[in-house]
Amino acid sequence: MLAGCPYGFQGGTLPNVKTVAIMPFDNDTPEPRLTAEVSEAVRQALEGRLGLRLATEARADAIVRGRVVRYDPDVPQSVLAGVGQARVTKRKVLIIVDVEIVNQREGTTVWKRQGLSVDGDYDPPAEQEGRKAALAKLVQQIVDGAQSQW
Amino acid sequence: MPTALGPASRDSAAQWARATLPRTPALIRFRWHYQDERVKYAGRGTVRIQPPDSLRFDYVGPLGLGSGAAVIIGDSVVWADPDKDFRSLVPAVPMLWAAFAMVRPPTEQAAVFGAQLEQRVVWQFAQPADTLAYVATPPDSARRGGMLEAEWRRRGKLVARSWARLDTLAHPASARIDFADAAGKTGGARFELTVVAFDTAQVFAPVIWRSRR
Repeated sequence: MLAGCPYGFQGGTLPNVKTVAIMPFDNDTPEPRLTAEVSEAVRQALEGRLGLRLATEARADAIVRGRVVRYDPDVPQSVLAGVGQARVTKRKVLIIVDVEIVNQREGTTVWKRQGLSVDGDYDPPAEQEGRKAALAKLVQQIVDGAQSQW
Repeated sequence: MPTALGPASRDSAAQWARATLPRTPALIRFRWHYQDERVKYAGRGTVRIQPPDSLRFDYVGPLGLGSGAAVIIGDSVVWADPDKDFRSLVPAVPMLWAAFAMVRPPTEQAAVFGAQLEQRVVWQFAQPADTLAYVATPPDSARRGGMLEAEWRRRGKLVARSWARLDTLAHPASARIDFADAAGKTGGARFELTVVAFDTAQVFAPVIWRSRR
């Protein structure tokens, strides 16, 4: 435990939060699979990287909730000019989410980000690869954001 | 629903059905549980209702594994993704509406019957193949919530029966749908839900109604 820390956190966790419940994110996009994929990214960040334990909503210190606001699967990244037509050789997916971690015991918002934007490149048509890269960035952004609460 | 029903006005039935819908867009969060002879699943979901006839249904499977969504307009599934998962979870669209204590108005082809039994209202919409019957019990003075029971028969054979409980604000609180087995007896699949939030402060992005496939 770090000396002088008012919250008594251990490396990488959120203040006064040891257990979390992850609520399914609302999905405002036409891609239904993102609900589960974003939840899994959030779980990886909180459990796998920050060392928090998952708990039920009734027992958890904090709940994580959010919304998948936008999913753009085919943003052109690089274009090869040709005679009479151009060819897109690389695209990226763009995912925008709102995330909030609420300490339910204290009724306070521990961390909140609106319009958190992540992207991932892919070679068409391997959209899934781009999505995987974007979700890996989401994991990292959540970890970085949570750690900035120190 | 063994009740003597008389012919009734389609307009009255449609008016009653419309009154079961929320007046403004509403988002309903719920926990669900599904079981049949082979499998048991549980998870969470949301439905977004855009009156008068649009519904988006999102669900997440156990432990957040797997998710899907569907858009329904009226009695039609506009899209479902993954299609197979949605149709096994929700085999009957009118019963999905009924699970949230909402009723689709009778179609033009339906013969409409109704009765008022003390506090309860009974409606039956009989189409050439399908008959839908509803019994609505309003919240009472003892602050107990109401109930909407629904029954769907196809060519006389029971397909599904549902019970949706309402809270004292007439919002859906919980529901159970029993699907009949091949012999038309209850005891086939069962879908249960418990509402955890009813939110009317939502604004729905137009993109949620579109399919990307």
